[in-house]
Amino acid sequence: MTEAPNDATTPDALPAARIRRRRRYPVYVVWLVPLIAAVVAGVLVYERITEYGPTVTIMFRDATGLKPRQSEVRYRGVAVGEVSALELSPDLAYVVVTARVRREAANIAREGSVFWIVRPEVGIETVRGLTTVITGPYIEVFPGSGRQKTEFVGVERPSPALGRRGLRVTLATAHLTSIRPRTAVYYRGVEVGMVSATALSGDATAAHVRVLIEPRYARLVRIGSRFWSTSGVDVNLSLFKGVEINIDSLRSLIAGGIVFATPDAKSPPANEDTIFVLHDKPEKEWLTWAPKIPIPAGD
Amino acid sequence: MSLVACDTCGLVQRLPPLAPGVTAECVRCGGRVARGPGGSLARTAAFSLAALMFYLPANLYPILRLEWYGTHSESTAWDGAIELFRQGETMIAVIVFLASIVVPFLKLLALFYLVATVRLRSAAWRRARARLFRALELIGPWAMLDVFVMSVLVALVKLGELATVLPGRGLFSFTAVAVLTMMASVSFDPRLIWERGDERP
Repeated sequence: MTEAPNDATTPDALPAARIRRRRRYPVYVVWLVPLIAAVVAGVLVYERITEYGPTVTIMFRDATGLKPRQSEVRYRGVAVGEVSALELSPDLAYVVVTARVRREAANIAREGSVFWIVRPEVGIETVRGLTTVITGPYIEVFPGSGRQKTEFVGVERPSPALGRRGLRVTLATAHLTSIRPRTAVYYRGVEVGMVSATALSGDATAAHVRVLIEPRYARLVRIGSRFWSTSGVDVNLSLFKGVEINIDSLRSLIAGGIVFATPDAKSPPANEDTIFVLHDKPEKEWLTWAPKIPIPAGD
Repeated sequence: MSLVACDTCGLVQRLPPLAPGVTAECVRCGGRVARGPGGSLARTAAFSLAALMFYLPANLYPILRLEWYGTHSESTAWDGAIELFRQGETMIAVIVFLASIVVPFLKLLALFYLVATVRLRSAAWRRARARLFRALELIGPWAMLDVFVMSVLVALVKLGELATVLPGRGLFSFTAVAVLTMMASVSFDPRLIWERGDERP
């Protein structure tokens, strides 16, 4: 700050800067900024950390199409988790899928929970999981009711009766024709239930068909009820009437069906695990049975 | 009494010692020529601290969303860098990593360092510190580079129009970090580095 003495711009000759009082708030107010930031950021971090609850592992035979951090775990169509890793089990027999479950849906991981992979499926009567053609497969879960659990074995495909209430009875037959899971069960032509599983009996002497009757129609099944399978087409060659063809419905024509009739309302209702015989064709008399059985009102 | 030159019009004028909370304006053009003590340092420190708070959620929340019809995958800045690295885009992965994770953090560290040294009235490395601050100011306008790089590069490299930047909490935090850092570096008065009155460079 040295200047020539003769210079016109000596310090005293210079104009003075204008002073202005500017601050409208005390200095410490600025410390509110990090304080608010800490609260907001804290909430954000907390929410992120608690977004996902338990991690579960599910073993599948085949995990084609599942992608870590992309494939969802869904329950009733809502995403409840996300696949985080896929690895082979040490013996190479399974794929171990690790999934993070959202905190609010932590209850889906319980003893008895069923996991399966939803893929596009084109059957003779239905097309299912069509959206997964584009989106890729996802894992669907049906929660059990037992204790919390984190290790599961996935199923190939769930029983169609999964999660449905109703009367479960078993039909035994010597030879299974076109009946498969999801085959409809009719009473007077009305669909009242479906086949949930087919299997051989314990000693391999018969085929067992597990049937689920909707709760509303459960009372129709009595101890004296008769079940028979229908392929949908009934061709009768008769000398006097000529050819008689009965077709039940296109669906049962293709996929077959099970029909039952009940003689009267006096016989006791069937209970769980009653075994009926599945006949090949009805006797004429069964078709005339028309007992009055009150059924609860439904929709 | 010292002399200052106005940044705007260049007029040299006398500057009396300023009380805290007072500013001096140029007599000719009205531009601010000096600020009273206090405030600058506190503001810089406060904004830096606030930016640091948001640094964690910024890197925890996904900022990028890849949509593919019904499905999507969301990735944080870190995930994005890892993903790019896995795909063999090493250069881009490094850029993304630097721009979105390292640089914002280093910027904050630098600001804290400047504040601390001024606060301690340190006379060491003053030239280097002044240069450091100039570097900070230089990259200031590029503070949003992080998100920009992420959105453009990952979108280009990966699935084109199917990738979008999530306008969610991640982006909010990222923006908060960027804006607060900018405010912090603007608040910092580099003259404070030289305040001890030592005239040697």
